[in-house]
Amino acid sequence: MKVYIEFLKNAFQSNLAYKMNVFLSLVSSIVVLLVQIYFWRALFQDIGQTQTNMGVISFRDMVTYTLVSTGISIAISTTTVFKVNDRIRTGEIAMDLIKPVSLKGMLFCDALGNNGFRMVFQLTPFLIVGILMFGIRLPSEPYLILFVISSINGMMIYFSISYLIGLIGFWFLAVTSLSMLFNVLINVFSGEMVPLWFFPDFLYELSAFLPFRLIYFAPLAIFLEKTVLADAIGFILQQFLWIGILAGIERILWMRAVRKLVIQGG
Amino acid sequence: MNKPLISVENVTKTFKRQRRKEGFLGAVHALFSRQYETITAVDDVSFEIGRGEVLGYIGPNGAGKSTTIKMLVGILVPNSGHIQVGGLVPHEDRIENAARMGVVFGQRTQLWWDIPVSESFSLMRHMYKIPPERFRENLELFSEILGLEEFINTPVRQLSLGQRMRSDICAALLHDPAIVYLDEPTIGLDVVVKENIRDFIKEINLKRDTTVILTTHDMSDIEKLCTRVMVIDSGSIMYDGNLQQLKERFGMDETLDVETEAPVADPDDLYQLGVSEFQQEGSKLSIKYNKATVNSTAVIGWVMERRRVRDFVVRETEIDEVIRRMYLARSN
Repeated sequence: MKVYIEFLKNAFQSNLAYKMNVFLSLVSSIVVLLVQIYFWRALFQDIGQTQTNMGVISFRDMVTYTLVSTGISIAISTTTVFKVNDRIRTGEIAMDLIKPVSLKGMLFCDALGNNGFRMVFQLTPFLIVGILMFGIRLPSEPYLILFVISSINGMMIYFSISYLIGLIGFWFLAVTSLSMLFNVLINVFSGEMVPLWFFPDFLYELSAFLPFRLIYFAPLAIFLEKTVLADAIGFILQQFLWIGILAGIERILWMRAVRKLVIQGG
Repeated sequence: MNKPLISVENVTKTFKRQRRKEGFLGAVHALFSRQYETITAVDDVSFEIGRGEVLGYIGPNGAGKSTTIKMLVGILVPNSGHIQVGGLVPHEDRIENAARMGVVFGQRTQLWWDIPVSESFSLMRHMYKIPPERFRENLELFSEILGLEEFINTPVRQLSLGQRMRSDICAALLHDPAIVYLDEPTIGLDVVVKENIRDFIKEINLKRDTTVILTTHDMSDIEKLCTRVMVIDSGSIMYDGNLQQLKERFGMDETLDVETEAPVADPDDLYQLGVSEFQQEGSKLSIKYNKATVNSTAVIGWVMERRRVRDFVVRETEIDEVIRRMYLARSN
């Protein structure tokens, strides 16, 4: 177990070598935030607020939504797909497999270390700037606790899906297009950009069958208190269910992948 | 007799490779119908390796050396046959098997790219659960023999090839593995570093009774280290036995290339020295002889008595040549 904590620390430290990277990412996330907020401002200019299937949504709600959504994306997004894929494509995966540790555990700690680093050096300044500029409305305590739990679960789901797509690289050496599809699905169905309460009914219902909305929309709806507590807990139960399902798929895929493994380049 | 540490029984490994016609049309064609050819990398191979042996595993490129090693370390699954390493089936008990072995793949590194070597080592300590005492002892001993002090705090991405290789070899042995697999550990290194690494491997084998499996293209690696040699070509084992015998039968020839200021006048006299073959082109003379019966200094001396020597090189028989001769010996 200790070794996985070391992996995490190591990933955290490795980031220190690329300081410029941190700064540029911070700038880009602030720009994205501004664009989104001005977009919502333009839409809400005349109406002030709007009625949806999840209650009344005001411009202030959308500001908080955008701020928290961008924050979540800083905290949970990973490059796991490309890491796994690169390692398979170049044969570097051999060097992981000769180590007496689980590949998934190693990648997960690597992702946690990177995300931890971004939370300290990117998310914190981002939130300070964002809150100073636009303000934020915090939820009540029970919702805040549920928000934290559902965000952590969201991260687990995000990681599991990334890892799964990475593993598909054992069959098709390049997964770039697959990963683009995954990003599109996330962008649309997770509510990262557009909250699901603005969706037409059929899309909203479709999204309920997919795991993506549990990554962004669930924690965000909880943060904004747009669900009753029972529904919030329902979201979290669904998250656990999906974590289980994805772990099962990943198990099966992994066992087949190892048989399939061909090390590239001698 | 004790149970061997490693046993490989009738193991075959094949790969499927996509066959594509040449050019753009070929690429388009491949989109619609794919044809595969099956390549047999390892063909019904069996052998056993005992504890403490130093085995040189040689063969030309693409002969199946790396594939064999990858099956032994548990990252490739054989199509048929059985492999057992220290009582484990490598690909089924990958993690447990990995904990007991050390691996160096010469062309890759197992160290972490962005952090100093010393921190990679300390990750190794946690990964293999090495007791702190033992870790310190080993690290002290290894870094002395391998001369790691000067760059131990440098990130791996800034190391030279030789430095990286020495660090990798140290990392592979820190946890006192029962077996080390060294896949071309001296590739691309200069003579001093090569020598350094050989001494180290030899010492570890003697002190810790570590079993060493070494693949290489460098005949002198084999000569300095190995007690036993296995030759593989096209997936089959061609020879398995001690080095001395192999050399006596196939590899005792040496070629001396000399460049003199003027052509030697009476090269035919070379035959009196026992030389088996020579070629003369202007002032360049290429002399082939059997090392067991002819003394190389006598040959050089003979040339120097007659002409001033500008340059000379002694070439040992290369592994490819040894293998070529094996084929000839077989077909005769």
